[in-house]
Amino acid sequence: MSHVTKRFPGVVANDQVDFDVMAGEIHGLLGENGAGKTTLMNILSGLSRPDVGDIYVKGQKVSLKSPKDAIEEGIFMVHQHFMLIPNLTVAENVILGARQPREPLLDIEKVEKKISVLANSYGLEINPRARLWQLSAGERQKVEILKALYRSADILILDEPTSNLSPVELKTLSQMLVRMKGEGKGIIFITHKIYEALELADRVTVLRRGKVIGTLRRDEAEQKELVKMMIGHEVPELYRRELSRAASCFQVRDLVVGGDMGVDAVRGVDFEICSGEIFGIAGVAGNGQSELVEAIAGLRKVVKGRIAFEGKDITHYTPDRLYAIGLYHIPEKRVETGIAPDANVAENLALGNHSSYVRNFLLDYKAMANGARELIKSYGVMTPSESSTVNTLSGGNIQKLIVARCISMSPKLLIASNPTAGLDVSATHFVHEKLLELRDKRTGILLVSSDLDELLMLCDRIAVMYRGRIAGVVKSAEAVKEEIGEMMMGSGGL
Amino acid sequence: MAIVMAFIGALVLMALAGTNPFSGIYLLIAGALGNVFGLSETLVKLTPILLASLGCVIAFKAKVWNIGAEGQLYIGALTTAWVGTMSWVPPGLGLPLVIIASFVVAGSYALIAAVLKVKRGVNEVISTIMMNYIAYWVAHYFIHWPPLRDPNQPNPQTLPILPGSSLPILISGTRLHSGILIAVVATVLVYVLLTKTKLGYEIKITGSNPSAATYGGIKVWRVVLVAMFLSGGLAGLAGMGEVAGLHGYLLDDISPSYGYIAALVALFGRLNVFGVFLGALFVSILFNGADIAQISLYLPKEIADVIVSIMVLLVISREIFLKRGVPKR
Repeated sequence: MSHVTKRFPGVVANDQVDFDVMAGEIHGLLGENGAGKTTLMNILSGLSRPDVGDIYVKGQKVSLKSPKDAIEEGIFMVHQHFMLIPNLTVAENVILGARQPREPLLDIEKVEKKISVLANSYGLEINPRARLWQLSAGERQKVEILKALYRSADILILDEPTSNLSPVELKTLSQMLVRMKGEGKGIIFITHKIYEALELADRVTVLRRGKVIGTLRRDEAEQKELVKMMIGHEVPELYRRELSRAASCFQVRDLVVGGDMGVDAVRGVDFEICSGEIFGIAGVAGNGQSELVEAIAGLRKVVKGRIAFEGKDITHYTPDRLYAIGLYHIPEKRVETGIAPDANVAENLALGNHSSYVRNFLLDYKAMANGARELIKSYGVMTPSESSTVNTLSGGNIQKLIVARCISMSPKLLIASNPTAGLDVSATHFVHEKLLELRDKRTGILLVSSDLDELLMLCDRIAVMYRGRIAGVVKSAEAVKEEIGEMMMGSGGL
Repeated sequence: MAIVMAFIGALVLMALAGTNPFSGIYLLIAGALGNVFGLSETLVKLTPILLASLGCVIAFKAKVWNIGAEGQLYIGALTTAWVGTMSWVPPGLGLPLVIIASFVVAGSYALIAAVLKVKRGVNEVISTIMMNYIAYWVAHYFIHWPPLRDPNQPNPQTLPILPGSSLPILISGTRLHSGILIAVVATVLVYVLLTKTKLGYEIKITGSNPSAATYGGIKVWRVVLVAMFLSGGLAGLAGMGEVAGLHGYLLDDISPSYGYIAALVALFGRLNVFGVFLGALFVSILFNGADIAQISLYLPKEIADVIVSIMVLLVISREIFLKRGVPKR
């Protein structure tokens, strides 16, 4: 890709970008949210067209008017949110959109055989007759990659490939990629996680604000340097101080919580959190963590068991009562649960606390706006004004809004559910900083995350959830990553 | 903006119908606004349409789809026919009693659908529409049978509303009654409710994202119940105005689908009070003008219905044009 430029109203998403991939290499495209990585790859995969610039495949200039053209040139993109249909089989998904030899007749058995052969040649175990909804995230990703292989793609683009994978699945993925690399395929992957780039890529290109900052080979690249390239300045390391052990303030006993499919999602969980402690819950998504958090936060019914905070039984408390005693929650699905998209920033910042703005039966919107302005400033939420509608904000800024809202209430206990999911380096660093600050102020924090490195950095103790129960609790100072990974897959611990 | 497009559509249709469109529009507006009588008739129509539309706005803002304004209107009208003919009520109390009663009873009628929604998840679109039919035929019964039927009148209608319970006429020689004042006051009150009170805030948040509202500590079930009650109550006031102000008694088909028009006006006015006021005014002018223009132009008064149909299409298509994609995480 040469001198590629793409403009949207108000912003230059890609500014004179030169980017290339060689056969038999894995090239990582690294950058913050909004740096232009996805835009660039959308151009390469045919989803959009550049305003300026050319694309050359195998030395020939090509014009990609649609993903179909790109696929014909051998370019296939695996998107962050998989384009798979849950109730179709693997085979049916793989051939979605591809030409069949005897159209309009469909030889599904021939296809299934071909897929089995293809998968085995790469060491992938997959049942072509399995229905998509039965597969885990890692397995679904394999199906997406199979789509590329089925279409004989030479260039594979992966958008944020590791966001939903456990450590074991990550290894499988990297083995698969190395194999494909060995066959002369070119692999590009988009990421904002530095460690991912360092582990998987042969070369790394950093984009910042639409411009290429530099391209480094893996042996040249170093974490600090990459961060500086991505953000433009250095970022101080965070440090978790040693705090004296305090009294336990939050207890969960024998908790059973129902799930959405008629099966209990949480099947008897016990743990305690002390004030001034960050207690982490690790585990692959879908093992009951979300339901556990929702139950504690008053958003899901508790079937059995007790939850206590500062001596009070809060098992069946609704959110408003929890706020009244200082228990706040950063929700996992920030847009679905945490904000009202048609309301503006000030109204969203006041949510949960809006009763305090009532004067003489009327809501004091001016005070609300003033309060909002202060929070916007101190938490660095990027928005034109406090009266902008919230659905114009980027994902990272919405999360900052939610974090600002929760932390500014000086919580005594904070439940943070995947608080940095999808956030870029500076936003993630910001959230981590604030969590450690709260911990220093003796707030207890329950941190649920699928990012093991985050948990190890921030938490004092980490529990691993597997199939609705706690498989084990470790002190992070003593923890071994592989051991935790095994517990996450159900084979280690208790 | 949509009003402009509706007008253009109307012009086209009129031309197709063989009438000179410009004189048609002129007569329509002149008839509706040009003289005192026309203006008073426009305001007479504005009263129930505006009141019911405001009710719909409150409910719709909470994403509670109250399509039952028509039935709630009839309940309000029926209540007025009951309470307004009770001879033992002391004078002076008659009118306030009628106003309060019609609001409360119609609001409670709407509350039935709200409780079904909150407790049993019954879709309020279905329940309110079905309750419209119930209300209509219950009113029908009382129009045709004692104890409310007026024995002195050949046509089926209820007993006349007592003078102490009637809305006074504002301009003699016209039919304009003080219901219009109630409608204007209601407009201001609804505006304040929605934009400046805690309830208005909770309605807005609930309508925008009920999960976030629950997460934020708002009792969504309470918001739904209150919104429906207020919504039904306002529609009930519309019915009250027609009985105690305009006709003086209740008769069949006292409402030419005002309730359904109100729902449309609420959406057309984008659920904000000022827009809805303009929309209600537009529709009132339209219907009144069409009645008048029909006589001089051989223009069927159904032209008004056609224009309203264009409004419906515009409301639907606006949503299609403005729909953005799902925001990226």
